[in-house]
Amino acid sequence: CCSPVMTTTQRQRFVAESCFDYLNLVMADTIFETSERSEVAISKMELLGFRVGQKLIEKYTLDKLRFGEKIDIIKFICREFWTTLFQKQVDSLRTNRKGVYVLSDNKFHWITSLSAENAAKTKQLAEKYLVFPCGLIKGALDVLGVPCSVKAEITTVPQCTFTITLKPGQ
Amino acid sequence: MSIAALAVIGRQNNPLFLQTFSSDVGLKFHFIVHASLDVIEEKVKKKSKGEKLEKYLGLLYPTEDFKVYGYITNTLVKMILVISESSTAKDLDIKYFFDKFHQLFLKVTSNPFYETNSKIESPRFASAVESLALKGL
Repeated sequence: CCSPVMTTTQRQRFVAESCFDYLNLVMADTIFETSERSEVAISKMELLGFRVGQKLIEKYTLDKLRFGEKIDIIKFICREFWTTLFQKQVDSLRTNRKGVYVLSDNKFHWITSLSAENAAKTKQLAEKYLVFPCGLIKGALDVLGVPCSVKAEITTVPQCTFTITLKPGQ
Repeated sequence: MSIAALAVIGRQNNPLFLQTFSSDVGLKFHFIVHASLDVIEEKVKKKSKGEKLEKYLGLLYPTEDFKVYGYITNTLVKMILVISESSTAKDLDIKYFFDKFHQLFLKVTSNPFYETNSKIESPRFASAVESLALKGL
């Protein structure tokens, strides 16, 4: 748990991250509980993530030079964006070169600590916590000029993939 | 005071903010800013291999009484600075100005109540921009 040898900044960061982790889980739970149908909850959460993603990117790209190609934008998402949000980089990126990118994270931070009776149940329960991150990626790419749709899939907790499909005409 | 007008234009070339600091009719600056969007589009399209893509776009075009400078962010938001023809401001000063302007823009967009790509109506932003413009180049 809390290591006694943390510096003040590390401790502050630890507290901030823990607060955010709990808030994030409760937010997803609340929205799913208070929505008439799960589709409504999913679209609400995705919109939330979308808006936050848009604003975060303004901040994260403030000092960066402009991106040359689309792939540079995707790489930015996989590296800096992922590291700032999820404390690590995406583990692998695949593309079919026709506008579909698959990002794999072997230990996705936001679902790492979840556990239920068995793996199947955990996977089912963890899915709702991936909607917000999908929205984040979608909003981030949208504001960088790459409109797309993003879907997440869990293989086994905490491993998951995010599939980005660029809107046609890109 | 050489800064005549400042504008922020959104991704779809929609005006988000326009502030004028001269006695000239505001419509004139709308026209100048609108015309500069074409120049920006041209500059942005020109992608030469290996060249670092700067956000600062330099002098876009000179008119009779003004010089127009441009800047584009990674999120495709354009910022335009119109200064009087007689100004002796150097490129470096203008670049520095745009960096400061960009930071003010970041502050206003980080506001959770601000809807991305909508008109900027924050009075705080307007007054911060005014002080920045009055400081000159």
